[in-house]
Amino acid sequence: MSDLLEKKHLDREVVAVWRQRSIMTNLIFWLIIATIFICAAFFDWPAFIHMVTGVLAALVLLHLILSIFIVPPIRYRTFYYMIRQKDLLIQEGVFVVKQIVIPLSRVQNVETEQGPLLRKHRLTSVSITTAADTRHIPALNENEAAALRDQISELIKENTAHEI
Amino acid sequence: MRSEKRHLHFFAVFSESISILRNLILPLGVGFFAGLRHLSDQYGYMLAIPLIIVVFGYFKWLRLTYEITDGQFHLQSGVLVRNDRYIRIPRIQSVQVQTNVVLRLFGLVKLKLDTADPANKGDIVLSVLKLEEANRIKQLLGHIDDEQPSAETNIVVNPDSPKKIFRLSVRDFLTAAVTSSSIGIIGVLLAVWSQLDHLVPGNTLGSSFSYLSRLQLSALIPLIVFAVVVLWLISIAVTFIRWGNFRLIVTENQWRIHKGILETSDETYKTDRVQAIRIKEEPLQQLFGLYTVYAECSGSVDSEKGAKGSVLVFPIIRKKELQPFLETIIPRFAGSISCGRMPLRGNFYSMIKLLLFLTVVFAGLSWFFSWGKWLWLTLPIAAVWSFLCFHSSGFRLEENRIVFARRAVAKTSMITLKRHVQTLTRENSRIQQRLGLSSCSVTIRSSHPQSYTADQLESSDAEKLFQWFRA
Repeated sequence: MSDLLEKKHLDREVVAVWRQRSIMTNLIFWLIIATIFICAAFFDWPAFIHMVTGVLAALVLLHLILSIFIVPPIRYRTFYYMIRQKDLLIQEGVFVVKQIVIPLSRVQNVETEQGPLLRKHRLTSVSITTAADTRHIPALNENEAAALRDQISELIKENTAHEI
Repeated sequence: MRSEKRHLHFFAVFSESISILRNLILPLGVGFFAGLRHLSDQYGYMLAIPLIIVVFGYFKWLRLTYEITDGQFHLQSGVLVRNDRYIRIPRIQSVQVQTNVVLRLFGLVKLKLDTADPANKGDIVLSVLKLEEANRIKQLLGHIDDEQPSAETNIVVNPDSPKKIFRLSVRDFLTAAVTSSSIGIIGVLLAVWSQLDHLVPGNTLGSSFSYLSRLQLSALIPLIVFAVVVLWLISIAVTFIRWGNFRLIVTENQWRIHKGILETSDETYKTDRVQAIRIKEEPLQQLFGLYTVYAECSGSVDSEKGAKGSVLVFPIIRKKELQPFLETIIPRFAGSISCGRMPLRGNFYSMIKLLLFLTVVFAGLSWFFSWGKWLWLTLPIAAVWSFLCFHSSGFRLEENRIVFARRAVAKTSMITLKRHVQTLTRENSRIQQRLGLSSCSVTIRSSHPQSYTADQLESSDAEKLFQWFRA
């Protein structure tokens, strides 16, 4: 019972994963900006294109700074999940803090998923689907994720759903 | 129970081609008119398009077969990619028979099978069938006692004595037609009007606008009034065709909704599928104290345009009739819908948020464009609008029933029960936290998953809601 009510956080590694992810997306953004810039220089595109790329570059730079230095630690700090006897509570968010309650009787399935990046860090994401939407727990270490999945599916059996 | 594989009625080839063409005609037509002057020599190619569609439709028809075997409905379809679907008959929740003008000429109907799948997986639609064939399928699926073929007669024979039949009276019908806002048509007609200059060669209509501008103002006003009246009449006619002869037949645990004059549709819904009741008030309706009632159902529904996947239960109901109406059609959702107000500081917070956002956008626009400065005039309108939205939003919490009210343009009140709520989310930004405000949203299972939000609740109320749901 006691370990049910405990607030559980993500694996520490997740901060690194988030950073690497945003570096990758940023690389794509920078490539696009560079292409536009080179094209504009070579083909004599009108001057306002330079202005637009300038603004874009500034925005992407801002995004880079936010998504590498500021967002991941905050996101890590706010996120926790908690399993009670009858429901699952997830808190997430960066600037807006969300608390989501999913009664276990409404859970339809639990999935674990592992992309290449997560696999490298030996992490797994867990997603919980109800009839209305899907919620994600972005990264737990492999064992914990499997345990959580089994625990939830065990608890679902106890709280049988009423269909329709 | 065996039955051999069958095709749809052959007319399906044409009716589907026509509906594809109808969807193509608007975008194609616009392109056509735009390029009319240059393309007139390549006119012949346009004729090939319907031909291709018909040929494709023929193959589609050829490859689509259905059969009912061993308690399963088996549908095979797909021209290049074959698709086999088996549905167990008990899983079929309702069978719906619809018809429209063209089909009715040939005594044909459209059959729809509702399953519990969400709408995006696709329902089973047998688009064109003989009426007898449709009845045969219904019989095989064990749904024959639900409905009577209503194509020939308007007299309803009721198999299991209905509790009540609601009809749209002529007076209500007229108010529905008048107040439901089909004013969007005006925009369309204006767009067509502006295209006319390109359409008609020469000077006959070529300068329709400059002709108008030369008219005296006194002559112009009657003209505009006349146009508005005509549009109004058109919208009344449209509503008449869509909602005419509206009947809601309530039996012990299901609704049967019959509507339409030329395009009739008969729908059956079991009330235990209903997840939430949505009550909508258009601004004009609010003036007269009228409501439109929608229902959110799990599984697939046949949604009316603009109803976003929900079922139109009744188009017009008076304020004081609402309670008895709900009590009759679905007792578990009945009850008061008057809501407590949201705190005033929440209103200011959301207003300031909106105004700040608009200020940034407008500043950018008026920096770059000369017309940008006129946008500032909309700022007070936005503020008033935001205040009005706040004024009509609220929430109400009872033993196991919640009501959320909010407004975008039309005011919507949503009633749902604790057992239909899938997840509950409470969120607050850092500023909201400082102000002691929170937003709560609930998600409901429906053909299109929907969430309803109550913005800027008092934190203590949000906490109450939270505990209510977790208890």
